[in-house]
Amino acid sequence: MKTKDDYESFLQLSAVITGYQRVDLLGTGVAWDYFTSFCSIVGKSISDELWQKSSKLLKRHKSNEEKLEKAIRVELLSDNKFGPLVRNLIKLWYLGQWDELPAHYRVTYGTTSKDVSHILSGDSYKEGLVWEAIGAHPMGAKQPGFGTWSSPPKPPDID
Amino acid sequence: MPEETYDVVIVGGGISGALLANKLAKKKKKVLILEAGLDAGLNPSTYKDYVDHFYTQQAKVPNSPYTNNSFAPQSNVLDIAKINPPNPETSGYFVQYGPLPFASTNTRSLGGTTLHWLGICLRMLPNDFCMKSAYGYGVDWPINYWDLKGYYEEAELEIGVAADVNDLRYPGTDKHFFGDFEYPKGYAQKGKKNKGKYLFPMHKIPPTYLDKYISKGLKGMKFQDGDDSIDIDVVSIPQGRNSDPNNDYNDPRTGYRYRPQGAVGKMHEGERCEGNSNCIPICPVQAKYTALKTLSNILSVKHSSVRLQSQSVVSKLNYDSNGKIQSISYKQYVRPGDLNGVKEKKVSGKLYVLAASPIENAKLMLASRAGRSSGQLGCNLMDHPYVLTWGLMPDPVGPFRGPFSSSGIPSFRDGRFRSRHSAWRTDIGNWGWIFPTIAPWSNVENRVDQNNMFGKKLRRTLYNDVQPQFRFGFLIEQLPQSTNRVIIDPKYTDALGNYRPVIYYDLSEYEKAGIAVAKAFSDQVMRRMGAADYTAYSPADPGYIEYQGKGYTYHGSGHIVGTHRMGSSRKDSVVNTKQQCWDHKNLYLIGCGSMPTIGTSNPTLTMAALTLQAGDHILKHLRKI
Ligand SMILES: Cc1cc2nc3c(=O)[nH]c(=O)nc-3n(C[C@H](O)[C@H](O)[C@H](O)COP(=O)(O)OP(=O)(O)OC[C@H]3O[C@@H](n4cnc5c(N)ncnc54)[C@H](O)[C@@H]3O)c2cc1C
Ligand code: SF4
Repeated sequence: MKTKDDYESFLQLSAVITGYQRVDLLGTGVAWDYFTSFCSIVGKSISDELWQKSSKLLKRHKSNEEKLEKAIRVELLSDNKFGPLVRNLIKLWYLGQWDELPAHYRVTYGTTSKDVSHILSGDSYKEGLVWEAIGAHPMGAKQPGFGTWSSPPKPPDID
Repeated sequence: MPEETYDVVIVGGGISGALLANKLAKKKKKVLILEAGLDAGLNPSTYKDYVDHFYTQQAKVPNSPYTNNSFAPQSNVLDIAKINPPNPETSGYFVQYGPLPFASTNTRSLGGTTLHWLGICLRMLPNDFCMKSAYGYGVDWPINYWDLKGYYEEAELEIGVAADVNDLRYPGTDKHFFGDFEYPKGYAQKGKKNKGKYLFPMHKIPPTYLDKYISKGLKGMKFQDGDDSIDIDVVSIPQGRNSDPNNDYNDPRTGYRYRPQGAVGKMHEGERCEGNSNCIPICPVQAKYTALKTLSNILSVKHSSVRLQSQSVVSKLNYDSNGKIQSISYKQYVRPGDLNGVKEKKVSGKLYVLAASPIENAKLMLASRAGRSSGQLGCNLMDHPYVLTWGLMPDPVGPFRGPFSSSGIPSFRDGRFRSRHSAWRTDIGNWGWIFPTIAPWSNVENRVDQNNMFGKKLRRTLYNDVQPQFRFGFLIEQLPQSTNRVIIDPKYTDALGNYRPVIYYDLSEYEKAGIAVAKAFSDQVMRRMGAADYTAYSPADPGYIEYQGKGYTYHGSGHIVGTHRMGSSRKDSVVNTKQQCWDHKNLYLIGCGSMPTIGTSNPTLTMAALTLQAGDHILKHLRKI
């Protein structure tokens, strides 16, 4: 049960930090892979702490998006321990890629041997959110079709 | 002892080797293609391995899908570094003495460099063939545009080029440039003949939104270059990329209407460019031409007269006292990097053809102490130094959609200014700032790590960051110079004991002056479009140069040209107009290495035309033996 709750916290946190809806993130098909990879790269005890803390914030500000965002900024993104992890999680969602954690983080909080810069998988590359965000498609995948490039760009519907 | 005798032994399974083999196969000539690399890519599953490998590579550079093979090593743009003469830079496959880095790469796997080429198929202009007499620089070719015109048509058919003649305007040309159909003499056309006004097999690739935006913005623009006022024109680019077939074009090979050739082994895929925006390094659907298509056509024929042998690296030509090549020595391996199982072998043919790309051709000749009488072997190495400028348009322009480049500005491809500085071709880049700044990756990292953005604000910002991005690329004509050259040195060999290319390379004042004018042109375009110019060159860039107090950075275009130039006299050239080696009558050297000058067109179409012409000579030669 605990894993299920943690996964839910991971998804909800991911939705706020990426600006995409929970259902969009699930629709990528790589959410579970990101969750398990994230936990194993940063180590179980620190990831457990992050999910606990996130779950608290998410509950506390359930009905107020603005306050929730502020709490995430103050208590996670500007925190020495959690900040680098959450920033890496944003980049994981946007680029499908794990960036090695910053040196000061590694020295202070330790890390695992899996913390090396890499693209998680072919799917993670293709599911990078950045492509949709910039009004394009992942280069080399999800091709939009012959001649589509001739039409004017359309901004994605965010709200 | 030699194993078996062939009519022709071809070294290299890239586009030049493939087009030649195709021509010989039609006449049932017994051909062996020796290919240094693996024969991956010839079926859908190994091709997909390339694509999957690409997805997981962090640095998505041209060679990223094609794993390095220490027995057929290849250069990689990640290895291009600053050189500190007199010491060479040796970290990559090329040993570079400079003083400037040679920044282009090739691929050593079946299909060769077309695996990651872009597929732009431009003809050279008439004046490109007579640079010396027209402008006093470089050399004249021993043949002219009109000698090659029919072969251009044949090459445009074999590659499958998409373009509309009425759309193509180039300086120094008139309506005769494409003129009427003119297949080479003796070319057998099946079915209804193509006659009258020339047509390409496929219509043009539709222009991108950005192309149209820039075309509108530059309408009526003139640029003052010295005394010359130059009319600026945005024109679409012919491409070896599948588009809508031209219904009035009869395919002379089949006698039926032209049908775009899709993916190897999956012909219904890739019959149109689907906008994967990934032509370099790999087109997932194979809408882009690669030599794999031609090779699979040849090899899939029942009782094909062509045999392909991969994992066979040619190391030497053996010849008698008259210069006649007797055999070719090669090393065949079982697994890349595993010296157990490497066998040294020899093979013989009536004729031999080197089609291993200019640098490898030169290296093989030098290693065999062959073809050296003119002193030009290995010399005159050229590229199009590729200078980028980039900025933000006032509006969203829809980057990262469609092929790498679909339109360009040909206005500086020819003109009187060529007696002062290099000509160039401008391409309009459709993939934002991927080349100069690794966008959109860099945009994400910057916004998240430096600007502390997240959530919807991040999403919105990224759209606004990337949408106005555009880039120009200036392909600068480089002159042939004997000091830009490839040599070999026993100190530098690869894992199989073959030589690594040792390269000397520099840019001349003529090219630097061209770069400076191209940059001034870009400045004016940005002002006219109301674009914010973000171009920045750093002395830390490997290709950083200074000219008249200003700094610029060039990259490689992948256009490796020269090293075994063609000429009308054995005194100053390595091959004759048939691309037959002056010193070894049963040896032909084909590929961009034979081109005496580079002009401003991407070189492969011209090289393909030359190869098809050489094919006719080789067939004639075989008839005489
Ligand atoms: C990024 C990039 C983009 C490009 N885009 C364009 C473009 O848009 N338009 C254009 O005109 N050109 C373009 N080019 C250039 C084009 O790819 C080359 O001109 C063309 O592929 C050369 O063909 P080739 O057959 O002569 O040589 P290659 O394609 O290099 O093939 C040579 C073959 O020989 C094999 N070989 C090498 N050594 C040996 C040996 N010792 N024994 C046996 N086999 C050997 C290799 O493995 C390879 O298969 C581009 C190049 C690059 C790098
Ligand atoms: S744009 Fe896409 S589909 Fe078209 S050729 Fe390039 S990679 Fe292939």
